[in-house]
Amino acid sequence: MKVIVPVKRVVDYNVKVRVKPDNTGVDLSNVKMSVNPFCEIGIEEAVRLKEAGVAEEVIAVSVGSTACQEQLRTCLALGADRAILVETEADAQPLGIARALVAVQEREQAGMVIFGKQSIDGDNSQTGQMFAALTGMPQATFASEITIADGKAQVLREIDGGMQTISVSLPAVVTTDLRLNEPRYASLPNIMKAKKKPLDVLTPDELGVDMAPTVEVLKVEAPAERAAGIKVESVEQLVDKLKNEAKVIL
Amino acid sequence: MSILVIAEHDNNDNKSATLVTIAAAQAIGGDIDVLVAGSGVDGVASQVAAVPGVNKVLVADNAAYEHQLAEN
Repeated sequence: MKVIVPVKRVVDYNVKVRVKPDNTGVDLSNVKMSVNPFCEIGIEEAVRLKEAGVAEEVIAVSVGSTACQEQLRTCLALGADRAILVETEADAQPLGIARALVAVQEREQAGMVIFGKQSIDGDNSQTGQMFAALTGMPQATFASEITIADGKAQVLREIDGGMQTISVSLPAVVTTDLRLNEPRYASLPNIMKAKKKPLDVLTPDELGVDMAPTVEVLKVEAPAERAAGIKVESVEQLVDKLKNEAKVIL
Repeated sequence: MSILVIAEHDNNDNKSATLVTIAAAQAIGGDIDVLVAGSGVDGVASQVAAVPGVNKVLVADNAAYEHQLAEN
């Protein structure tokens, strides 16, 4: 079974993001970029499936600019066998990305596609679900445990009121939650080996995919700053403020 | 423009998220229909019907919808 893991290049989770002064987006100049942590969990899970003998090949796929090759190399160092970049300089949005991935899936015919549940920059949590809808594959979202047997995957999902176990027939789409696994660190020999692993570059035109943006971002704003606290002089003043300003007691 | 709201419920009770969504739909304006899909959802349907501003409640009551999976 082949496993495809789509990965996204995002601002590293340790970086304090800054909004551009003209509010058109997040300032990405000279900012450290990484593999989206949820996608990294997806890579780790796919590599573990390979190590367990369930999967034969792990393919990392990214949709975006040339710079995404850096993140794909990271995935190769973590244990993916080969990588595919669908290169586009245009603004890639969930629907466009899902369409490009569908075209890749049609070529590769993978038995499982493991997405991260969401990216830490867009926070949409849409691409996996859209991909499942476009391909008609069953989806098991927010997985925290995957067991594969007899052409089916049993997936433990994290839902509002607790946990839900569902069984989906393969090929299936899985999106990873935080507790699925803890990704490994890439070892130096593996980083060196990753440089020799194949990385194919495709374009949306080659795949025959329309990636035109469907959503327009009007404005990006930083969260409102929290006002400074004050010291109250007396208990009466505190009670007065709780009653009239904070309205927490009636 | 008419708006379809999909009710969030646990087959017994309507969840507050549905009310939030209906309020948002009201802010946009237009006819608001609510779809209640589940199993044994008569109670939920009548709760939703009682919400002011709802034009029509559509009920899909079948055992297949009990767990409300994305596929169905």
